[in-house]
Amino acid sequence: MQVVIRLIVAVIFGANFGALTALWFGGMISGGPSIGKAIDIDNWQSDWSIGSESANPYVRARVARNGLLGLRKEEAVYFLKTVDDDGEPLSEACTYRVSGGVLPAAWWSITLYDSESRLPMNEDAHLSFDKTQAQQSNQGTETDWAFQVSPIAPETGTAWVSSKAGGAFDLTLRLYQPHQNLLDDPSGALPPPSIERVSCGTGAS
Amino acid sequence: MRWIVPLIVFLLSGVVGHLFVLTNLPSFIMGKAHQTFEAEGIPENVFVSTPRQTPQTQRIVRPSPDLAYAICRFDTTSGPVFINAPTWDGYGSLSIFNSKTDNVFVADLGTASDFQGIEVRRPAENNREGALKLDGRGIALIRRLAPTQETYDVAASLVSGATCAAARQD
Repeated sequence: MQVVIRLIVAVIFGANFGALTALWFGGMISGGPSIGKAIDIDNWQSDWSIGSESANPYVRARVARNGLLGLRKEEAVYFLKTVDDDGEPLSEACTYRVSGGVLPAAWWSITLYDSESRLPMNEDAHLSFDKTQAQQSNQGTETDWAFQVSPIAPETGTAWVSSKAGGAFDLTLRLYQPHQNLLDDPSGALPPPSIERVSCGTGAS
Repeated sequence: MRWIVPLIVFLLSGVVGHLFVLTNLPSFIMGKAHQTFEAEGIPENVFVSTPRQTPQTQRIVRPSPDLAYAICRFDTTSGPVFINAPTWDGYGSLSIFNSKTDNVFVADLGTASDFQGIEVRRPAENNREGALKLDGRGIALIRRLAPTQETYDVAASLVSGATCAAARQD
């Protein structure tokens, strides 16, 4: 009888342990892995199998949880970054300067999301920065663009993405209709946008 | 020695539980998405324009605030579905997702596109050439680049010209 009880307990605990680890690896539990890290360019991370039938079960589960209805790579690729250029986690408490140059896609945008993969619950209406804004701020070209990420609007006319209510946030770079050279050689074709921490709290970093 | 068999059973149960949950998560989440859309009044076989994506209106994870979305829920169990959307002067795409969240089809909706629509059928049916095979429930999603209210209004006005309806059965 004791043997049977031991086996039943082993099945129950084993199945639950397995289920919990699956939820963690699938990104369903806070602190679990993000969408995909197969491609890593200065901590801008992506996985070309997003949206694809060839995606492994772990990527598939994470995309379902954190990027439902994501497009396959021929139409769009997604890079996610959770840290600044110094490797420190992005935080609502800090001000950042995000900058870059020409990106290899028909159109691109950088959007801020909170740790629950939602747009941050603020009413600032400054949720993203895109290629159109880069061109408008630079006389029709998208070279040398920059914007500020902070919980309070900058006093100057600087382009701004609000991190208010973002907590520990991430930035997602979407590249629509990516150029073939990006798909073939991501690290060679993508000049990764810089995320420079300008200040934190009341003191400069 | 008496713990070896329970330990092996524990590990095997763990593997089974792990794989079961992992492989069923996408379908479960897609099913919840269908339920959410249905609860919000999005019927099957019709494209519905979603509000501009803001923190207050977002319903799915990681929506793009720069895009205008239109969604159609469909189910090939009750017959083939024909899906189409007009092109426009700007970035746009029509994508189709199966119940496992796979992006099984995407078409360009820019002016250079010659997209004329696609028929979606169950794999078991007598398939026509060019038809997309998809079993059961799916989601068709139109994305159009619309970072301003003006461009969003134009994109939303095009939704009435999109098709997501039962196709003629053989």
